[in-house]
Amino acid sequence: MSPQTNALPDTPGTVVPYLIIKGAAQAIDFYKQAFGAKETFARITDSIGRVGHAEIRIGGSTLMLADEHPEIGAVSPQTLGGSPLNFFVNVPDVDTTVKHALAAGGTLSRPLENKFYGHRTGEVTDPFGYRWTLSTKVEDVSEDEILRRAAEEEKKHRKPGAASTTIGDGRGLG
Amino acid sequence: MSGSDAVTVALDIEVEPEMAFAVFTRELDTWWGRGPQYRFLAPYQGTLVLEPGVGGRLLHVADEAAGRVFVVGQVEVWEPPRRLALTWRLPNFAPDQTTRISVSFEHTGDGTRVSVTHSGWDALPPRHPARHGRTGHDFVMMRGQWWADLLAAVKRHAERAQYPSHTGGNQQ
Repeated sequence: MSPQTNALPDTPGTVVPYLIIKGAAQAIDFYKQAFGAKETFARITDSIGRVGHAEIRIGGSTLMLADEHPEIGAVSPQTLGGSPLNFFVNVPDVDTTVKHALAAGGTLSRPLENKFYGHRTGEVTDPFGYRWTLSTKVEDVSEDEILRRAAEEEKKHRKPGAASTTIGDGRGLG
Repeated sequence: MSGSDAVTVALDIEVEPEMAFAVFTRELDTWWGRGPQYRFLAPYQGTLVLEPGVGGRLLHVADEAAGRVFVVGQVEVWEPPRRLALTWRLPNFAPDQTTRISVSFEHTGDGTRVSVTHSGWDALPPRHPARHGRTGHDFVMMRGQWWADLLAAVKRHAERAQYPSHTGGNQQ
């Protein structure tokens, strides 16, 4: 490393997700339309049109993305048959963001709903196989109240004789 | 198919195409990197000059008095403020080896998307020193990062030129 090298480059964030996408250029357009993303770095593309690197900002967060490059093991949810990763996105007005995401070509994979912990959330799956839980805080709920409501939720959903499915304070995967 | 014959690097710059084109061409030396990574002849200082118009040359004037001048290439397309293309050779290219640069300045809602395509790399043999031992995706990313750094400098310079308050000199 040369003396001028900054060991921590000024890319915002310590953990930055790097999405491999079949159709990265179209995905950037989708994220712009759906989530108001801005492209914030030079986009590098090879001579057969594969995006080798791009960066976008959604609100205060940076995401990096690239097309599939199977020769280095970079493959997308479409090739893998799904993604185990779900992005939780805090937005000012979840109803509007969901509307934009669906208009841009996303599908509603979990409906808009007010959650017991005080958030209103909906989950959109983008055309490239990533899932985005969009969320707006609509109510201040105390920790005690969250636990009380979580217990109630559990009672509502538990079938007689079934084991508890609630983990922690019950917020898991909304 | 490795796709490494060309690399395209594109960046949004928040100035009008006229300004982006002017900064890219007339002010080339102010934003182009210095040192052995970016300049062509030792001691990797001197001045880069892009002569305007078709047939104009891109020169690295390393030491004018000593006659140390390297001709990087020649302008093939000069269409301000939309397009620019030139040939491109490095000092370690054989006489019959050349690559090409094509730059487009596309007006977008917020400013200009500047795209640089550097093509013709397949004409160079796999062991050519300009490849630094890299092939395929690795080569694309090495070249891409090089241009990405330069375009980031164009952006900084152009946006500062556009908004004098960014220099701190004209602030209230």
